[in-house]
Amino acid sequence: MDKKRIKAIITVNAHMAANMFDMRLSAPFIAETAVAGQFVTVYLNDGARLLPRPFGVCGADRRTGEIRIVYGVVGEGTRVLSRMREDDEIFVMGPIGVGFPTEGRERHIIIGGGAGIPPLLFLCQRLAKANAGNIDVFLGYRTVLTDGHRNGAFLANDFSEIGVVPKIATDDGSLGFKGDAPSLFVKEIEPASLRNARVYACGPNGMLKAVARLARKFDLDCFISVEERMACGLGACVGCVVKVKDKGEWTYKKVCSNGPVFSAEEVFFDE
Amino acid sequence: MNSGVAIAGVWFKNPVITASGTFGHGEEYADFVDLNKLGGVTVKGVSTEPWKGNKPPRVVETYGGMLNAVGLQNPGVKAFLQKDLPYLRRFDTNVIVNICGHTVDEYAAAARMISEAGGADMLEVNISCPNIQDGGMAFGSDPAAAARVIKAVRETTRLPVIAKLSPNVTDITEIAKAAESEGADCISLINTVLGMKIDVKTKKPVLGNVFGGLSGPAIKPIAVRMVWQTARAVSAPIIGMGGVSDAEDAIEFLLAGASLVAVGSANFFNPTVTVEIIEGIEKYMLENGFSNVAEIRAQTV
Ligand SMILES: Cc1cc2nc3c(=O)[nH]c(=O)nc-3n(C[C@H](O)[C@H](O)[C@H](O)COP(=O)(O)OP(=O)(O)OC[C@H]3O[C@@H](n4cnc5c(N)ncnc54)[C@H](O)[C@@H]3O)c2cc1C
Ligand SMILES: Cc1cc2nc3c(=O)[nH]c(=O)nc-3n(C[C@H](O)[C@H](O)[C@H](O)COP(=O)(O)O)c2cc1C
Ligand code: FES
Repeated sequence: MDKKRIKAIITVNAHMAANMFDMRLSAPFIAETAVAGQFVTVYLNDGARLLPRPFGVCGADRRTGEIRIVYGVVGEGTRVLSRMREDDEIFVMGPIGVGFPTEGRERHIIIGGGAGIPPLLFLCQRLAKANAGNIDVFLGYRTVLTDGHRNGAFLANDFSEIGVVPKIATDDGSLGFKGDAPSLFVKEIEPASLRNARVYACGPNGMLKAVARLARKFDLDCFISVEERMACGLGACVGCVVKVKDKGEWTYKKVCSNGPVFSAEEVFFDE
Repeated sequence: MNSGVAIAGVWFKNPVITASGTFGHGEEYADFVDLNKLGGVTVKGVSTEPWKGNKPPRVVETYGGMLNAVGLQNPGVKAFLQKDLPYLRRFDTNVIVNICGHTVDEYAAAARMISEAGGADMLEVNISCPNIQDGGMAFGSDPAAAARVIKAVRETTRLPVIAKLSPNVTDITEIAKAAESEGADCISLINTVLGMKIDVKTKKPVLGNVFGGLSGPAIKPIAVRMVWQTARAVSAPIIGMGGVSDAEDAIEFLLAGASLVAVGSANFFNPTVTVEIIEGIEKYMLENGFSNVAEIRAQTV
């Protein structure tokens, strides 16, 4: 058995920045077995909104049996989720999908944008714990200003706490570099330091496309986590596809079961 | 009490099967469901050659349901017979293979390949998919065209043939009668209801294919009505589906005249729902003193 649907207890559901929420769920099986880059789906218990919502695993604590997800309120489902309280119960399924490869390299570049950042924190934790080598993190946000408060760089402190201080980019220049995370990476990095490095990225499609282009340019091993609308989350409905190269041709692969992490070389960004 | 049902000479240990395209080929749900417990599994539609399917997005939630425009992406009959069917055959459940095609000949060829290979208990002919350009629903919305497909399949196979009908027609009983007269042993209905969704932020249709098929609880009343009508128009047994999400829904279809009930999108909303429905039907039969499923159907005939 590699996936379970668990009635989990919400232990934390805190507003963390702008429209971002930090949720922790007691789901020991998932906490025990999840690897970085995998995701869970959350069932809303709402007869009008029936499809489970996918969220990257942002942290998994085997000791407490808790998993963490960090989500943005972007629609009705995430609004329902944001109104749930501690001790409420909710069905969550996971761990789902193919995660990031973490072995075989000693130099790691993590590039994240917006709601793509959460699963990268989990990745960074696992890499750091395994003493996997040198890690650089580049995080992009739209803005860090909300209602006059500078609190928008969600999760940046969590990276610092594990000893990897992230470099920050914002679209409006409200913090750090003005621009996106891939551009910051180009500006900061010494090409000579990239030998044998692997790049890991998750974020908006435009950002992933830019990362894939950079990886090709610098000849880097590169893995990206992609998003697509899902129904089953189990590889059964063939709903969540991404266009990938296939023996000189192309084919549609399932994000939920063949991904969400793909080699950047494999993915077509034309759709 | 026995919840088993025989249709077209095939024995189902209970009246609950899965709907095509919503349960993969069973393996995807094996973490959640003991496949031995199901009356049957209808697999995702297969065609003679691999089909790439439609461009994404392919699925989107709507109020009380969802739209899909997968476009019947499948690896083709050969890969299905090599990899997927042997997996499912390990379980004690009926296997219904759903076939699709662009032309009458493609349907017949798929039916022949599957019959010759062995391993399927029944063939379901999808003449009702709204998501492909040629074939699919084009056959299912014209009685003469539906008859041609069913006739061609009938002539190539000795397996029991199920004609799967589209709700996107003026009079579903005409199509059902045409299919029955050309030798369909059973009628299954309904496939998805043609629909679409527009994103008011981007001001564009959400689905890559623009149109998609609506499924889930939102379509159940349409499906119940059509099962009721069809049950009164043909004598072939009926497999009812459309929005079934719990035992009460399933019993509603039995009362409308279905012999078997298929569970579709509800598998996405709760992966263990099939087993819960089987248990619920058995409980209902005990509580209401029914000794077999036909007695439920007889309540309204
Ligand atoms: C593998 C994966 C991991 C993800 N991880 C995170 C994460 O860690 N944090 C985070 O904030 N968001 C994440 N997302 C995006 C998140 O799933 C959507 O923001 C969420 O489903 C929106 O739900 P809603 O009901 O609020 O939006 P609505 O727009 O009301 O949702 C309607 C439907 O569209 C789907 N949908 C809407 N936006 C997306 C999207 N961007 N991707 C996929 N489906 C979508 C919903 O699931 C739902 O079925 C992830 C998506 C995927 C595919
Ligand atoms: C994602 C998806 C894929 C489907 N694929 C097929 C298919 O390959 N062949 C077919 O005959 N019906 C297909 N259907 C239709 C279902 O089998 C069923 O008729 C329909 O969804 C109504 O039932 P429901 O409301 O319980 O889902 C598909 C439905 C969905 C939602
Ligand atoms: S969501 Fe159903 S196959 Fe991926």
